[in-house]
Amino acid sequence: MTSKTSSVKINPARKMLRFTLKKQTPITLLVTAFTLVFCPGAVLREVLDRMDYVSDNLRYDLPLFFPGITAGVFIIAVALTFLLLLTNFGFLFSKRAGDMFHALPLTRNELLFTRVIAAFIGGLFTMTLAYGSLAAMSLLPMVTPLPVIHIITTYLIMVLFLAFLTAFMLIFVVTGGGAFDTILAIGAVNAALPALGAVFISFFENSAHGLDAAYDGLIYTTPFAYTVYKLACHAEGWEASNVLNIERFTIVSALLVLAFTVLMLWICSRLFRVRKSETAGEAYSFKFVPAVLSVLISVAGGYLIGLIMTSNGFESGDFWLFFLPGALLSAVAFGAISTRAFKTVKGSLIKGGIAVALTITIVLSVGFAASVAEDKVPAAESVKSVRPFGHYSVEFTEPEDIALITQIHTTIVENNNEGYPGSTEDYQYEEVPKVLGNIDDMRLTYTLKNGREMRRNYWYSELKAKNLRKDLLALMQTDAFLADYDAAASHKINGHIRLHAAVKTETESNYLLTNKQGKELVALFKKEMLEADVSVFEEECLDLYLEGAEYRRMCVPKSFEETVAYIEALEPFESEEY
Amino acid sequence: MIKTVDLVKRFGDKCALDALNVEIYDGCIYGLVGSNGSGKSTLLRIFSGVYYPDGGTVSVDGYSVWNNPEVKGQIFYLPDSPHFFKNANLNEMADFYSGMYATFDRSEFDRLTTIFPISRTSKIDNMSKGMQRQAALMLAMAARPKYLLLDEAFDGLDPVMRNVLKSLLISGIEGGGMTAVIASHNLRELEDLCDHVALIHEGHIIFSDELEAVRGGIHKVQAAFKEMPPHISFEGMQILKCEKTGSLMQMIIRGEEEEILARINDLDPIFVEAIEPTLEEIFIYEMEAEGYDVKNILG
Repeated sequence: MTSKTSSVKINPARKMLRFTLKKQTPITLLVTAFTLVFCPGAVLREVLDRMDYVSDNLRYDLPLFFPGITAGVFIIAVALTFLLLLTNFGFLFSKRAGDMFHALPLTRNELLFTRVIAAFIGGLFTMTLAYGSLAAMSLLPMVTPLPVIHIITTYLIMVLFLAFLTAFMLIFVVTGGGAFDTILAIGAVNAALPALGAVFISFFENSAHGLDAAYDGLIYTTPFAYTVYKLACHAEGWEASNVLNIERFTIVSALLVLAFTVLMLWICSRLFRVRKSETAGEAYSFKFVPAVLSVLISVAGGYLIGLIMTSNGFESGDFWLFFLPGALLSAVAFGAISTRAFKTVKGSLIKGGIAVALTITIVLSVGFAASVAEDKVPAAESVKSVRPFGHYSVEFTEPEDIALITQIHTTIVENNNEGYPGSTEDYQYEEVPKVLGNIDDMRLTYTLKNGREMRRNYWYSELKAKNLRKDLLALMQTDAFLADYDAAASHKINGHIRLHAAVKTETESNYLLTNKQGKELVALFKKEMLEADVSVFEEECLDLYLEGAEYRRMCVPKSFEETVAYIEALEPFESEEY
Repeated sequence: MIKTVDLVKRFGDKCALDALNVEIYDGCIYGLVGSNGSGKSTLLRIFSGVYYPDGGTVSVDGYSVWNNPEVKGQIFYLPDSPHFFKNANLNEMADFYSGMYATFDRSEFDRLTTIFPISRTSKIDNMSKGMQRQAALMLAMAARPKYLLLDEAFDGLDPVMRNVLKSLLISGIEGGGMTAVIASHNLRELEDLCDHVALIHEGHIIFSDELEAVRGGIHKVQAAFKEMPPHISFEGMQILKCEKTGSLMQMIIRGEEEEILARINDLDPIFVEAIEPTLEEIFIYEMEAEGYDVKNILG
């Protein structure tokens, strides 16, 4: 059928936008007023208390509180936007209102976007006002200022994430048929996906020896999780990123978020176009929504009931005795809530059954993947770098060092295949040798040449560690390992190196070392370490805590006579301030 | 012209409209009659672009209605339960609709406010059902649409307001070139208003014709005889129904009135008269003649 040429002089879409903005003004102003009481109201009160103190150390520490306040403002803006979405799209939940709105001379896209833009503007208005006033406080003399660039980039990221979450929430609004069910769907998806993700990752981790699963993947389970993580990282990261491993929000990240926002809006547009008006007032407008939710809730409900009844996870047989009825019960309960009746029990049981089958499939797949991963040691040639003692430990990049670490890893796996804790009766836990200090686990983090990361984690006490001693000592004698002490042996500008140790007595003493002394001490330690043999693993050690530019624990075996003598010759520094 | 071809609309397993064909010509008042759940409201919602048909087509002046704001701008749909914005008054609603419909006539709205006894500044939410209906009608009439779709238009209106509405509809059609489609389950409301009437049942149009044509072809005749004439005396007449009470005969006969009266006068009655049947009666007789169980259809 053809399309008629327009001769209409008015613009109904613009009128609808203006009208919607006008109608939502009271609630927007109310929430804005509430937000302003919190920010800048409460913050300003703290600031004004410092009117008389403008010296550096008594200023209001805005950078310290900035992430928390920013998060609060953002959460309120998102909540307001969701509230406005529910009210602006109330006609999707009421047949009477639906008749009126759908009969108006607007395309479905015009109707959708005028209403969602109005909701977004409402949230943006509140956020801008509250955040703007917070940023303005940075100019006050009694406030420690924030970098302007950080204020601006944080705002832009907040705007971007507000749009991102608005688009995400809109999917639920468009597919919902009632306000209650829409809220239920959003809650279920955003709680169940990360929770179940964590459960399956944990199961993967526990399914085989040494697996160290990446929980940071959970941030990708829902846009809410991603937003919370990224925003928190950015708000915190302006000064901490150099110290902590905080992922900065890059232009590429922003473009990806923007692309996903556009994608979700496009999906909403397509869904809204085919959405049947007659579904207003029903729980959901599309059959796939309750089906997906039912399966999700069944798995989550079944797991929860299994956990409560047995205190065990998927590994336990007892757990499944409760998981099965729990999943079915959850499916029936969700079906009853959605239909406000018990008319769909049979269908709900089928969905519960699908959920159980799906869970079994995932559990078997994860278990299989874990058993394969358990024995996997990367080829030394494929490794770009490796940190053997955790994410923040020294990084080894030399091929011979990497080969040594993969050799240690191979020995661990082979020992493991001969039986690891729990699998053999005669297994003996081993004490961690003193010389290893706080290295009580082998937390291997490989960065492969293909850009991927591989992590394994073995508790030293669970290993047949005597087989590893020769290689471990060789590792501790590498240049890379010993060079790691250098930072602790050099002081900060105009400062001293601090040393804590219990040398002559059982009581720990404090020492202040010059830069020269620090270097001498570490040089002696390195020299004796290079001369050491595996007998050091049996020795008692001096525990030193060396704090220069960086902080290191250094365990000195008693046989390191020169190092021990050097420390004993030092005069303890006795000061209250120290 | 509004035209449907093999229109189908389903709600789950229920088929609300089943290959329905209708043609509504411009400038008429089209009555859509049927019992509750017959498909009247569904048809109006499809005409107005609220519902998307599951099969067949619907066109207004040759164009599709669905998602077509230019066509929808010529249609005003007033459902049986009109919706107003929360806490809105009549002025605010008029302001809203004036931005939606290019044809919205402020002066006409002002004129209507003098006809309907409704405050322009009171909250519509607080008004009675009848007052709300009047408010909705005022907005609909002021929008001056080419096609006005009214679902149970007279529900909740008092007799005076019913007549006012009828007058407004007639003047709107005569003066403004409007076409009105009125869905109702009450035939009596439509019989002195509609040009064309269609009966819809279980998603099918059972009967559709010009009202005058319907009225002109069927007559209700009462005649009294000293002695009842034999059956054969009425041979050749198209009698749809005949009831005898003593010496009185009441017949529904299809044909020309003068010819029918002449035939009965030849039988030497004590008296004979032709009474104009109601629209409901005509429908009942026509439908019964077609073999339908009319009581169930008209509810």
